[in-house]
Amino acid sequence: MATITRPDNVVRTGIAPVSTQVAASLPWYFVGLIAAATAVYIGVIWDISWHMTIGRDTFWSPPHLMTYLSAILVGISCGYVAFKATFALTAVERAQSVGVGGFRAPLGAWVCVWGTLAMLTSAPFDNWWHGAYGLDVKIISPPHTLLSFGMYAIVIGALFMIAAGQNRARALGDDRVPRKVEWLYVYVAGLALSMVAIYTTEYSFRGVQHGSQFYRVSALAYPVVLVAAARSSSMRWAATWVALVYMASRIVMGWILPLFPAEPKLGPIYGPVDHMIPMQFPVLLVAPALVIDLLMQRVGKDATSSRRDWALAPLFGIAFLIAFLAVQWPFADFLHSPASRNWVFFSHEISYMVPAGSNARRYLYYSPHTLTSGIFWLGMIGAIGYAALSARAGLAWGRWMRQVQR
Amino acid sequence: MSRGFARVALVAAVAIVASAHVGSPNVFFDGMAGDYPVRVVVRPPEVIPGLAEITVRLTGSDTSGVRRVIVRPVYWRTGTTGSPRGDEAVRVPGPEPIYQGRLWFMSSGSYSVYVTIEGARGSGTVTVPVAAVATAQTSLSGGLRITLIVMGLALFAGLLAIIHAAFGESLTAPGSAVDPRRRRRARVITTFAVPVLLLALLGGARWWNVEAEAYRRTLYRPLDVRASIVSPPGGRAIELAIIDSAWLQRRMTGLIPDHGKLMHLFVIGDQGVLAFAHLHPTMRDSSTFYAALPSLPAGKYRVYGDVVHESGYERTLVTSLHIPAGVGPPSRSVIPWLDADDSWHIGGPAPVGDETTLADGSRMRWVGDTIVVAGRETTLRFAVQDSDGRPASLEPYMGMAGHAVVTRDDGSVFIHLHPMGTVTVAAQQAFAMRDRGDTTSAGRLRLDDASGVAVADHARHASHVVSEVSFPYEFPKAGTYRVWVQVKREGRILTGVFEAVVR
Repeated sequence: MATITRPDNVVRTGIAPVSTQVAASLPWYFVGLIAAATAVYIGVIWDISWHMTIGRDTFWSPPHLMTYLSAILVGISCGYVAFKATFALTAVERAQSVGVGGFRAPLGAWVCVWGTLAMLTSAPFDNWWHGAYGLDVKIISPPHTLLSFGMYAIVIGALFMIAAGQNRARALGDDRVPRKVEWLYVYVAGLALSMVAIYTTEYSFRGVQHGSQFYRVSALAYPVVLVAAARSSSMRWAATWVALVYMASRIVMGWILPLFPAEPKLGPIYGPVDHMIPMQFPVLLVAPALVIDLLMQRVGKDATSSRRDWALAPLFGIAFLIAFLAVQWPFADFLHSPASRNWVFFSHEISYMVPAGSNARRYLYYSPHTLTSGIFWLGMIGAIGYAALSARAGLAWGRWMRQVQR
Repeated sequence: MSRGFARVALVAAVAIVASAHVGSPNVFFDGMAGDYPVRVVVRPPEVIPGLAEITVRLTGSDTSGVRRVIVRPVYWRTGTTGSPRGDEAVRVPGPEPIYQGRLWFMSSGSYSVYVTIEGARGSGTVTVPVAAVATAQTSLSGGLRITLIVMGLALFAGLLAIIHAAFGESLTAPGSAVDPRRRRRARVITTFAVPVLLLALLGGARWWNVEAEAYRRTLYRPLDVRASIVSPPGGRAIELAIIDSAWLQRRMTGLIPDHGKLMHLFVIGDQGVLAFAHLHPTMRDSSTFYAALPSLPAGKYRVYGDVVHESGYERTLVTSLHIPAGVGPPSRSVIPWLDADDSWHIGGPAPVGDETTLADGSRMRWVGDTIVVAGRETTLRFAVQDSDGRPASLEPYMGMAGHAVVTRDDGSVFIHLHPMGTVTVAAQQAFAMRDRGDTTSAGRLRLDDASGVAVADHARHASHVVSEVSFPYEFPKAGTYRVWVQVKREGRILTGVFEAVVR
């Protein structure tokens, strides 16, 4: 349960009066931090599109620069915060910080710094990996995983800082949380969901969306973020907004990227392209997010006991899965149909490296399973388990995020 | 990504596992690109996908009219329509007209570099076939390994500190002290986090091993081949059998003839056996070849068979052969399975720079640059004089002014050279036919139509006397090498042998 900060605590510890404390729940450097986190995400989407279109890049290519400079900006600003909190000895800032190795900074700032260090460590590792095993044209590799952990940590760190600010404000009464802060929280949680969705890309191509593995991967990856956001945000439709942030960012990139001319600089070229190819249309997470929000409104955001959470987890998991399956299965058919091959849904945008004559180019599913396949439903049993586990993790994480104070 | 940086700073141990050209992976071409004489050197990457380094030297007397040199990677399976536009090669500062470029070879298999010269005499393109195979295994250099370990430890410790704070201090109201029960809980959770994180790291290490193993499986492995002496009806022969399952299960494109020969077979004496044979086997069935068995001295021999696949992929089959005493036909008048262009030579080498006497009394001398240094591009030049000391007149031997074979004494290097370099005309033809779009739906070529395809510079059809042969080459490593040079004079194939100590 969240510790309520009573008025006499406020006086005793010398923390500033209520109005400035609420304002201080959103530190001044925060806008820059969130802009940098956004830039990291946009940089990754741009880089993936670069690899799908041009193929050849260097260490200093524009999307790389965007991602790394943003990461360094995050590291510097959080490091500055730590320095200031440690040495400037402002009472407010000291009080709202945790100590690591003699330095003090908000927990989220430490997570951001960790994320920056992880990203910077992955760079020479990735460089060596390409020299040893060949330039990889895939998203999931050990060095890329370290990089993605780092990027995820940057976004999560920002999320933690907002959560702490929200909780400190909420301790003074629920109506004290500024609307702006609530929206920021949901936006950064949306960035977190978007990062997760990048990592699942290679399991989410439209051609596999009629197979159970796609649903198992989705059940493991997405509920944790959606449920955590739904529980820890004070907004009634938090998970829905989080899913909309993810979908909007991918759709807008899908509209903007093809406007830029480009051609492949790497062969073999199996299909000619003359403009930047975007990542596929996002999966329709808005539907399961809506259902999660509805369920959360019914059960209440407060976490009463661990046992109750264990009982709730399968409910959230199954709700996610049913809503997702109901919406994504027919939408996958739509993505394979000619009706989606336009600038709105961009399913005709195919990377140059997709082999000629492959199922992807012929708009065919990769595996023949249908809703009547026994194998599909057998695999969906695993999806139920994963969804329940993911939801349980989300409930725990959401509970923690309602409690974090600094 | 800077390949130079990666190679110098990060690569420590490079184990050359195997090479499609037996220890000599670099490709040399000396010839014409349209109207421009050029020498092209391609150093393929050791890891696929990887960067190939291309050096183009304009060898003509007048190079001032050249405006641009463009290099372009072409993968046989996708042809020119499936390759990116070429890159402009950069002129290396200096008096000589040398241009350098770097191209990515993204897939394993038959690649070529199209070199285009644009200038006052128009535009000319030449195809230089290159086999793209992964041949090297790298490991982390000391400096990088230490850096990653240090950073890894810092990240590990940092994560634990964050977890500890996340369940302790960060759940405490600002300004309050941490509740002792909460502090203990944080400590317990952090302690449990240690084995969990270690398990995750172990999983990561295992994943790394899986990736490394997957890469190792892409490394070039020579085909399993067996050579033996057999006595089929028709007479004794050398049998070369390809027993590799990849071949027997037809998982490879078939062979195409180079200069009318499906295979150039070299039988070279090992360990003190001073004998050399250049044979052209006949295909008996899809995996067996018979070649003439000349009367070679008994002993152990190394066998190299050069073939070209339909895709333009050049390969050397490697095996060994034991020739027992007393084999070979008693008289040289009838030798079963003999090809008109077969030749052999028994005898030792003359040292570098010295002369060697050929079988018909003429003399061959290694001229030009006789100091050989490993890793330095050079041209091996040999002049032939008849017994009176006048320059001898050489005839084309299988369409070329001469052929050369270079091997290292331990067998780790073998290369079959022509005046146009290490490339084969057949491979160039394979790419030319691909460009013409002359393929069936299965991607195979209609080779009966090959005669209509023009290929750049097919030997100097000289109207003047040719008495010198030259081969572009670069010795890959130091050691003792043997060089056999074969020329044709008055209908007779003559072989000169030289020994070179390469520093």
